Amino acid sequence: MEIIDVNTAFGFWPAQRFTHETVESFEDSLRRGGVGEIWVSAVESILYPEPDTFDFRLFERFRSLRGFRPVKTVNPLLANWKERTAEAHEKFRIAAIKVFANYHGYSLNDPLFNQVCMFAEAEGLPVLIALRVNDERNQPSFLQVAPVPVAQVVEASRRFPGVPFIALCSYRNELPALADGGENLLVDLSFQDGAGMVENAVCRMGASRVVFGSHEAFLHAQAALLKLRHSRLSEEIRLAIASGNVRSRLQGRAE
Amino acid sequence: MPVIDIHTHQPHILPDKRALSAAESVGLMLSEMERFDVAVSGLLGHCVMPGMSADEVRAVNRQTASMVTLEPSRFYGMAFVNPSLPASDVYAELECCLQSPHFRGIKLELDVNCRDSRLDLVMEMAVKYGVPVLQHSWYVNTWSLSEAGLKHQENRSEPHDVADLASRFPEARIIMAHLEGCGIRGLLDIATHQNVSVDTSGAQPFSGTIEYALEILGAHRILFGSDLFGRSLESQLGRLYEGGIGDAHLHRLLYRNAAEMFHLG
Repeated sequence: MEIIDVNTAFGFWPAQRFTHETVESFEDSLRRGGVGEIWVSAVESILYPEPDTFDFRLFERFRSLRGFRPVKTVNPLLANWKERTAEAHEKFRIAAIKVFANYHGYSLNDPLFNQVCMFAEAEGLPVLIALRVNDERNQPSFLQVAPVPVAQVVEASRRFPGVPFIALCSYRNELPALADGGENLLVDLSFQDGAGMVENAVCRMGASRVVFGSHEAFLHAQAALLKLRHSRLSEEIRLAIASGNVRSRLQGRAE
Repeated sequence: MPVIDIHTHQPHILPDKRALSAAESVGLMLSEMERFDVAVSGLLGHCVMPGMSADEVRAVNRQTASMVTLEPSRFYGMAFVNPSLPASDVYAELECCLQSPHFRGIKLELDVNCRDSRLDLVMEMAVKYGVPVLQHSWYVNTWSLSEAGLKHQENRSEPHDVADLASRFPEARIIMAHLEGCGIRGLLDIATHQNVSVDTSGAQPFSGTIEYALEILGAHRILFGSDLFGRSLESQLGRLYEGGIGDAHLHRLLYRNAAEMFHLG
């Protein structure tokens, strides 16, 4: 089964010691699980005041590795985000744009985010919206960040029906609200939990709106792989989640 | 590799609110267990709401007992009690449960902080019957809770409270629930208390925590727990299968420690 992981990040996070701290270990953990295509962003770009330094460093580092697709973190509050994102796309053929609105301090209702969506639409790129990177209950005292409101994600998907959005790291109880978004709004598996969680996600969202995302290196990718492989869904639906939905709905647009 | 899951809350109602029979709950549990080679599960009951009455506590434990009766080789029970109830009720319920072979431990939730002297009776009975006490524990960010959530958590026990309990009852065996919720600080709180182990359940399978637990506590003080049905075996086993844990340690975490702690086959 071909698996595309749309939600990975590599690098250093001050509040967590990742299991996979080297490129070799990180890659091995995903390859062993059968992941063929890995969409990766830079962890440091979440906290560092501008994402380009660590993004470009990461993209160079992973450039020669088979199956890695760079994901550009975008902070629309920065004056040069559009130029730097265009430059990254030209040099590295990025797979997607990733936004951390809660960490970077803006609302998805802000007109600045509309600019990001318009850029993505023009370039044929999906927009990955990180709702959270960890469990709010366990955040360290110096880094307490509320999740991105699901309602804002839903509204954005309706304003820009031509842009594919993936809401990353959604909780099970957020799916009913996310399902009300446009057909262009998808979710990943990384934070879905509880017995029958993949079946529940498909039931709520529809099979064409669920994709594989592990949130490695924050989470153990093995968890998402077990969710996919042990789901009681048909082979056809599991293939759609593993890679089919990305191939048919997200890719081929920018390539 | 066979698994003993020491932390499960059996399903008791369906999404349409219909109450499940013990046989139906057993069926749902076994269906999950068999997908992952889980040989035995410890049933804690549907006891996650604080403030249950004596009748409600009895109902929880009777449902657990009914399930164990149906499949005694696949399940054992943990006697749930609410220490804020009159001591006579707590005593009677523990006597009733712990005299039965169906129950092999005691479960404490969010009703009373475990520094409270109302736990003395519970701990004395745990020692008398030679069973471990599984204590819910978490360092929760109160800012992330709603008003209802704050009320729900107001008597919670944090890992430093568990450490206090362990020092008051050094002869008792205590399992601190929720590795991920307790985190590194929580592991350090209990590290010197050799009568405290930790279960691996809680939150998403964040990388790095299980490795730290192995360094600080050693493999002999960690037991696998999934927190089914609120969590899944997929996410909770994934934490262990990718943690770079060797087979010998993995067998300890997944099976041997629990088999020894609960005297299972």
